[in-house]
Amino acid sequence: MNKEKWIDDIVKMAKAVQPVSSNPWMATRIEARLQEPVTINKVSLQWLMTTAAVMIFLVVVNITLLRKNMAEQPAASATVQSVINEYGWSNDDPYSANFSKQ
Amino acid sequence: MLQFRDDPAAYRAFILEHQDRVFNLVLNKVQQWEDAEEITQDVFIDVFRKPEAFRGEAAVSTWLFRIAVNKCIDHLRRKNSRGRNLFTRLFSSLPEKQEPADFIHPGVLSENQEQAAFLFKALKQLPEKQHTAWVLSEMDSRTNKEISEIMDLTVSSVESLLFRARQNIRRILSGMYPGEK
Repeated sequence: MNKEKWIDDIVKMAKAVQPVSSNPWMATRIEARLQEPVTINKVSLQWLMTTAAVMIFLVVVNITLLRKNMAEQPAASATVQSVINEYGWSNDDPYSANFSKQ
Repeated sequence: MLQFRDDPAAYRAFILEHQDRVFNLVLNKVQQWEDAEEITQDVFIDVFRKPEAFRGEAAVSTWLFRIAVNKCIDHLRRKNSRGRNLFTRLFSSLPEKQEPADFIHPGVLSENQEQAAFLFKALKQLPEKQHTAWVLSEMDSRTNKEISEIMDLTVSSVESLLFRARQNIRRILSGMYPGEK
């Protein structure tokens, strides 16, 4: 069978599809659904789990960064202190402040 | 105009009058019997709950088809995104519904079912609007004017969609031709 004819036959199938009868109880089912109380859309469990996982992740990242920062804090203070000493800035008197390295 | 709240008999008659055509359109679009039944029910529930949405600009059937088409599009989008969403896959408590490999339309004679399966597989690969226009035109025998009202497009846009849909279906089917394997 040639390709074009095969394609034509398949495309023509659309017209050969007969309409089917829907469920004879459709109207009854619809009426039953209308009788049901309207339920408020609850947040699905999967989204709740996702949000919780993201929150936990953010808290862990924050704690880790905070601890890392605190551990580095004394070293940073020492560096600042050494610069202050080196330039003689520990003196509160602005007139004697020396901005050139001693 | 379409107030059924105080007239259950009229509502039932309305459903019985339109349910088959709505159901067939939805079935051709979503290619799944159970989903088609549920969507059809949703369409009539919307009609009952929001009758004011019908402004009388088009025929009731056109309005019904518009609701049905929009519901099908939403359903197919949800279904596609469900497969793609990582979190949904990770946390979904429900087992994933197994799709049948080929949709077997109950309105197709058994000797034509193999060919029809190719057609429905090709239709699934069409872009959304082309798919809708093609189903309405070729399977539901709607005129371009009716399709334009259902899809809220101009007639020339529908013609263009149908032209591209026909070209694409032939291209997709060409790739499926069993004689070349």
